[in-house]
Amino acid sequence: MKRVPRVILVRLVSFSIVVCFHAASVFAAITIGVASYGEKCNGVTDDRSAIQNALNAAYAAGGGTVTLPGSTCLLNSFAPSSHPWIFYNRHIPSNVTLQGTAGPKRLQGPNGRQLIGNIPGASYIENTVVAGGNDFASIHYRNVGVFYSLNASTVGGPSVTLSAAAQAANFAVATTSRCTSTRMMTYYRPR
Amino acid sequence: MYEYTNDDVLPAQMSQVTGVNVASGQLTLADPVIRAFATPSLANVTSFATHDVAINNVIVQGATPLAVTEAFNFSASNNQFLSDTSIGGGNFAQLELNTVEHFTFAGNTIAAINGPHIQQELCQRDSQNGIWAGNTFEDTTVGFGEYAANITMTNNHIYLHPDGTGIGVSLSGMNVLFNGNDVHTVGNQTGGSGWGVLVADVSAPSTTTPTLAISESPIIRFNASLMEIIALLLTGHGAVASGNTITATGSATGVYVADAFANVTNNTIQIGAGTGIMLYTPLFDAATVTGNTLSGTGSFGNYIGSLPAAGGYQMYGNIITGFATPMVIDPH
Repeated sequence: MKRVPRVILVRLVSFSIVVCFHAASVFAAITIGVASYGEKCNGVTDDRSAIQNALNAAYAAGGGTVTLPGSTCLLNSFAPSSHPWIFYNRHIPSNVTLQGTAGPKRLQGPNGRQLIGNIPGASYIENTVVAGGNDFASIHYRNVGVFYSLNASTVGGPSVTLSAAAQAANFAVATTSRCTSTRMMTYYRPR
Repeated sequence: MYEYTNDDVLPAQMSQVTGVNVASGQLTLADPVIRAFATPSLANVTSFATHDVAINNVIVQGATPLAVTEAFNFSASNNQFLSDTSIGGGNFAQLELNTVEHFTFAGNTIAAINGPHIQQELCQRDSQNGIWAGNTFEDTTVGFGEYAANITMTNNHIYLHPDGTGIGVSLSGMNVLFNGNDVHTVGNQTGGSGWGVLVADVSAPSTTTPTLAISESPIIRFNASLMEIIALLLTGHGAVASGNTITATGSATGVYVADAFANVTNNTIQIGAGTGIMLYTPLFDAATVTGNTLSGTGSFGNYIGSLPAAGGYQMYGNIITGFATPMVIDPH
């Protein structure tokens, strides 16, 4: 894909610059230092909320990078997922990069975990430090509620055909972007 | 896209829509459909999907360091994901990677800390189009499957701390390339209740054309004390093992071919008292075994345990030294 380099400078809460090259105007990009959100990263204070707020701010800005200092950030509280047995310390939303500098540690503290004894009926418990994606409930994709039948003879290549052609109107075309990251990324546009 | 919509782990494939033709009902996809779907149905998952997420250059330590589920375009580079296995208390300790489409893990360390090593599932549930490059693993086992597809593992360093059960490195899915990796056992692999296999391809269920290539991967420091230990097991249809170096002691088998149309070529296999290459493909026989260099002190260099069917076995150009019998044909 031919890329059209453009430079986008966005100031939100803090104050670095990220260069975003992209073919379609899909999202701006910012860089946020978590110190702007009150994080201490002294290995003692709970930094979970500060880091999560920075991640959320990057997402709200349309995407960007959250940078972390080179010291230990303690994650000493947790948040629930949609699964009653599964919890996490931080969730990275779409279009967001969590970027460390040399040696920073994200350490899950003793209060950063839910206890299995607090969850009646649980056979295990999952306390995740960093979560990406759709909050661990791995069958969300099957809970969309609507399934469209495909013409089986059309399946097996670069396209598929719906049994009821008009149902194609329920699908939109994805766009593509590339930010300064490790690889080409294909943007998946929320509807 | 789903083969069906009930049950737990389903044959499925994710993709993105790049074209819509409302008149014909045709949807053009970013990633072509590679599996057969007899009764396919489609779900629009856009509202659930997370996309374009990255984590770079951090150390993550806790019960489960990382979980990524239902995401498009995830990358992790130069991190340390450390499962703190001292926590216990019913905590899940593995990385949790499910239904991830287009991902890259590069230069990471994935290991346990403060306690025993653990099994690591690298990508499950229809995770596809993934790259594992230059990572270091310190685990009891590593592997992936559950309808994985288009997975490449290159130049990784895998240190296995075997617990005597299971497969050290299990590679399952369609279009899997395992190239240039080095695999080590730390301590003695003693088999026991598991298959006792160091590296194996395990063909995904319901796949019709699984393909896998294991190539140019030095597999070293493999110690074994029981006969059933196998350094490299090929169970997938048409698997390729080429250019690997397998060094084992004890009574391990070097390469065991268990399904048809395998290509075992140009490998260097140095073992102790075990068999160099064993062919036992009872259902569909045919394999090509050429250009390998086998050395060992055991009874058999090449052991053919089943009669070939159409196409037969093609075995030539192998250098076999040290074994009591270089080749034996003993169909069961």
